[in-house]
Order: sequence, then structure tokens, then C-alpha cells
Amino acid sequence: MVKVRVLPEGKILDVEAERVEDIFRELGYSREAYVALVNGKPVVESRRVKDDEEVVLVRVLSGG
Amino acid sequence: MAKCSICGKPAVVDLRYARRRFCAEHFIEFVERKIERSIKEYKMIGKRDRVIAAISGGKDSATLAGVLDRLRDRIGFELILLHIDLGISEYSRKSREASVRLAHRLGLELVIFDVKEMLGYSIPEMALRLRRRACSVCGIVKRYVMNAAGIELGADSVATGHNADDIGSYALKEFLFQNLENIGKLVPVSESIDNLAVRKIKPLYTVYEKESFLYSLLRELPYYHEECPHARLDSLDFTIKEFLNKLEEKFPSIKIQYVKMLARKGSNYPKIVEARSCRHCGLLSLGGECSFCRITRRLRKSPAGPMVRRYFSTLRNHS
Repeated sequence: MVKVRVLPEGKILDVEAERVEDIFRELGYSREAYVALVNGKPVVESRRVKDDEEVVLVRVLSGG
Repeated sequence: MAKCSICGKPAVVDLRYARRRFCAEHFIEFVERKIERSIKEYKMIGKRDRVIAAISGGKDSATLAGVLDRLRDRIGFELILLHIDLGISEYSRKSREASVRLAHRLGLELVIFDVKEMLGYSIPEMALRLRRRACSVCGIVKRYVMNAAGIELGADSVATGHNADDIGSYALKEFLFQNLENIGKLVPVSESIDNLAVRKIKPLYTVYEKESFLYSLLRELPYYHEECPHARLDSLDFTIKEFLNKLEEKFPSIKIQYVKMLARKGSNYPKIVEARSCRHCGLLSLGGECSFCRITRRLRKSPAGPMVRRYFSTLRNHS
């Protein structure tokens, strides 16, 4: 189970995922609207994630 | 492991619409080339131009200033940054700090216009007294200050950090309400009107919002990534952006095709009739008194346009 922090809201979600693309699919978040960072760095969606890694989804959309 | 399409190093960005993956170095290069191409294709900046980049302190401003800074020697133009402090509590304080750090990092001149200090009221205070939405007052003030700064500081153009997602969503919103005159303004370059309006350019016209965020992040440029407290996630603007992103997921590159078509066909939309000069400040107005002079006259008994123009004109004389 991977812990995913969602910014800017700050909520933390537990997600069953092997790769970053699983996180997007499980949470139903748009990959156009969010950027995935693992250990502080942007990653491609095929990147494997381990349970102890710091995973953050940052919403890049602004305005409203 | 996914590899960079250029050098084969591990990729950090996957751009589905471009069918390419990039390492940090080649992604930065890709964005800079894309912006340089737009600048040339739409004839945004010429040699020896004086360009003012309006920066809010957010990611798009950082990308705008960061890329223009790298291009200014190659193209040969002068670059000045302008930040408008809106007086929106903690949000404006941090946005201003980020703008100062950005200017310092890039070694660029930064002009700050402090709304509360200059006009006596912050944007939320103005909105409350005028009984208008903060976003509508903010838009009037920002547009006016950018134009006045451009005219008085002798700029050839004022650059803003509107990205492809901003432009696409504004255009769609205006289309839904059939405000077709406003769609015509969403082209990469809005030409100047002698002594009334400065030329406006949008160098990030073909840059996706996600690319702009990643560019600032990967170049480690200072920016403040928080939403304005007056922005709402359930607003029509935001919902339209989400809708366009859903389209993009299903049809990669639809957003870029859309804005490129808009750049080509935008001038076919009807134009706002005749440009007039505001009777108070002499800048662009549609009805004899510009929106900025009208709202500041209601707030302060006298229109603030002439004072804002004097402020920038004094700065120019001292530079």
C-alpha cells in the first residue's frame, strides 16, 4: 500500500499501486491536471513505486 | 525504465501529445524551443525591444521570466519584471516574496506596484466597498496597471504568463456566453493602439499548464504554488479547464491544436468597435471613462488613473 499526499489540499490517501499509472487510475485523477513526484522529483507514469517512497500528486491547474 | 527520447537517460517527463519522453535537461530545452518558436512565428518580440513581463509569483510567471531571460541575449531585447501586490493577505505576501526571489535569481530589474499603498485599498477592500466580486475588481486593476506601466515605461510590449490551458478555457467560456469580441482578444499578440494601449504578448501560448509547472520545478525557479483564496474549484473557469483535460486524455494534442487554430483564426472574430481615450487618464476606454478610473472615482472621489501613470512615469525618469 502506497501513501499518496495530494497537494495543495494536503490530504493523504492509501493506494494499492505498483506503478504511478496505477495511482492515477485508482484515484481517478487526471494526468493532465496533476503531476506525480516521487521522493520530490517528477517521474513518468510507468515508474514503479515502493511502499516506503514519498509519493505526492500536485495539482497544476490554477485559476477559477 | 522509460528513457529520454533524445539522450537515452532516464526520463522524468512523458508528453503523450508530443509522443516523447524527456530527461530534465531535454525537457527544459524542449519548452524553451517551443516558446522561442512561438515568439518568432507570432512576431512577439523584436531586436532591441523593451519587454515588461508581468509576474504574479506563480509557476507560469517563473516559466515566463525564466525563458525570456534565457532568450533575451539571443534575440537581443531588454527585459523588466512587473509585480502587482494585490493585498490579498498571506497569499499576496508570499507571491510578492516569490517574485522578489525570482528577480534576484535571474538578476532582473523588478518594479512592484503595491495596490493598497498606491490606491489606499487592497483588492478585497475595494471589492467590499464596490459590492463587486474580488476577481472582477482584480482584473480591472491588473489590466490597467499593466497597460499604464507599459505606456509610461516605454515598453514595446507587456508579456503575460497565460498558458495554453488558460487561453483554451477562456475562449471556450466566452464562446459559451457568445461574447465573441472577447475571443478575438485571445490571440498571441494584441497590437498596441497609439498612446492608449500597449502591445500585449503571450509567450506561453502553446505551453500546457503541466509543462509550465514542470519547467519551473525542474529549473528550481522560485514560485509560490497556492491558489488565490478568491479562486473557487467549483467555478465555471476551473470546470472548463478540467473538461479540456478530460478531452486531452482521450484525444492527446487536442488542446494544442485548439489554441493553434485560435491563433490562426482569432482575428476573424468581431472586434470591439472604436477605441477611445479616457477623459481622466487618457488611456484606453470604451465609453469615455475607463473602468479603472470609474471604480477608483467611486472609491476615492477622484479617479486614480492619472496618479498611476505619474507613478510609472517618475520611475522611468529615475531609471
